[in-house]
Amino acid sequence: MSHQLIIKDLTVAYNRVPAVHHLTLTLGCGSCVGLLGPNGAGKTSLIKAIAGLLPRETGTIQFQGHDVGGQTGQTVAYVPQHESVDWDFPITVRGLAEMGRFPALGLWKKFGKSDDDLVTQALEMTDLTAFAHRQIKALSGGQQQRAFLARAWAQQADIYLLDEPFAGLDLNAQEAFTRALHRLRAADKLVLASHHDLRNTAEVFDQVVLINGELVAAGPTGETFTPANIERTYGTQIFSGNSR
Amino acid sequence: MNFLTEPFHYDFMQRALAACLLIGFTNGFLGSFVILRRLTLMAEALSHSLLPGLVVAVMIFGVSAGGMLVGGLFAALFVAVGGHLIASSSRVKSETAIAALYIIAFAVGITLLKFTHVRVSLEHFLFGNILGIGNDDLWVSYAICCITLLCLIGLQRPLLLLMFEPAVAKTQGVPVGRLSMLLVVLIVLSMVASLQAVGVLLSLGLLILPAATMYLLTDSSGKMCWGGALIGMFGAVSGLLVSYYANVPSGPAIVFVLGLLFAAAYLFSPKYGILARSLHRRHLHDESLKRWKKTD
Repeated sequence: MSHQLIIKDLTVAYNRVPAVHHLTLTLGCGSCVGLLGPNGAGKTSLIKAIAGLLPRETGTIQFQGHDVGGQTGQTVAYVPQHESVDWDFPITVRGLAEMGRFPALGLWKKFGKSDDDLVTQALEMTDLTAFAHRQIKALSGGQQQRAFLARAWAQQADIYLLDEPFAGLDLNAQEAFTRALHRLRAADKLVLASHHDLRNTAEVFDQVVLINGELVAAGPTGETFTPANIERTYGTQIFSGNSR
Repeated sequence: MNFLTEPFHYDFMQRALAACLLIGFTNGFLGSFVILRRLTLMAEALSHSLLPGLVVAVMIFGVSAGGMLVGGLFAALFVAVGGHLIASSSRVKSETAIAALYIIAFAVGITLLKFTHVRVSLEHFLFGNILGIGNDDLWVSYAICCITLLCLIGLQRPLLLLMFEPAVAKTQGVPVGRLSMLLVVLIVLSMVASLQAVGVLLSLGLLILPAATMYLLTDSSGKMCWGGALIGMFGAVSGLLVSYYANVPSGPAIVFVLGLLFAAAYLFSPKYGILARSLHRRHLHDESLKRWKKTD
């Protein structure tokens, strides 16, 4: 099956101290995967490595037979952490979603009807149609997260990488965001989100990946998200290289 | 309306008008990119570092538009690249490295001015003298205007990605390093073009103020660019008229007019002006207020 994200022997390091250690993992499309682990376990590093934002020390990341990473172009959409965005930027929600079309359009191709339709669809998908003409700062936290999801959809990405998307969202916003994620799953996309809240994990994600510097366990939520595995993930010392 | 047309019976005023339209438009348009990419301080450093390059160019080629262009470009690139090298090879951060280099370059420039044999006054370099603009200068301005607009419009999509998310743009296929370099070169070019009108010290005003004004007025980056260009033209031409009638140097007059527009936007912008915001403050969230009134 080619619609799989295949990670083999991946090591990501900062100044030679590995944050993610020899990780091998296969994730299929049409699933919503929660990436769990304590602080410093390498969740963000793993996501950034897949997005091509961090260099790899070892290993390969492949999707549909091609190497992902470095230039991820249209395949991978990365939704940044809230703090890393300039919310004062003069752009509306619709403008943000339109930016998702830029990698496919390149420099000269006209922004046509089909692009416009994709943007409209993306806003519907994320329940943002009513807010299309708002500047991005004039949105609530949950709407802001969904606006970036809309851009990713307009990009027609296959893999959606989200870094702590639920951080700071209230219950309603969490539900709305989960709804949008599940629509992506239904559209046969792969969603990989780092996550902190163990309570709603089972409702949001159908698969989980537990990491702690290295892979602890991965698989369907029902089988993998067990007290024993959680204990192994959170209860042990985090591997972060030699402390010398 | 006579007071608007009367000055332009003179040849030198017609040339000055053409120069104001060209450089006002170019700088105003480019300013949006400078502000959104947060290059304002970089631009200030570049403007100061032009001086030694210009002086050396004048010493070698005499007062010629082409020579000054080359001199300014070299000096600015020296500071930009040098700052980058110092920052990457020592613990000094890049803004400190660039500031150190530009202020040294500025000192060197002022010192060198003492040794020029051509009679060019210091004031002319620092604050501009648009009435002395020649046909050569106009052609250089025109060429720079065309190059800048072509680059910025042709590359608007990758530039927008770069400005919005510099960290992520690379993964979307944007050549981040080369585009940033291009922006620096364009900044230097349009500053050299505006030298005659506003001088080394005030060229930053013509670059930044129109776009900063638009930033307070719009939520669209496109409108910010084109609006900035229009404000830049308007400010440059009105400044020229102020300079003509009040008999003050053109540079300060232009920056003064642009400064007034910026202050007006800061105070009275319907959405982001402090007046509108202080009147609006009582209800932080209009929607919840409406909902609350409905259930009342």
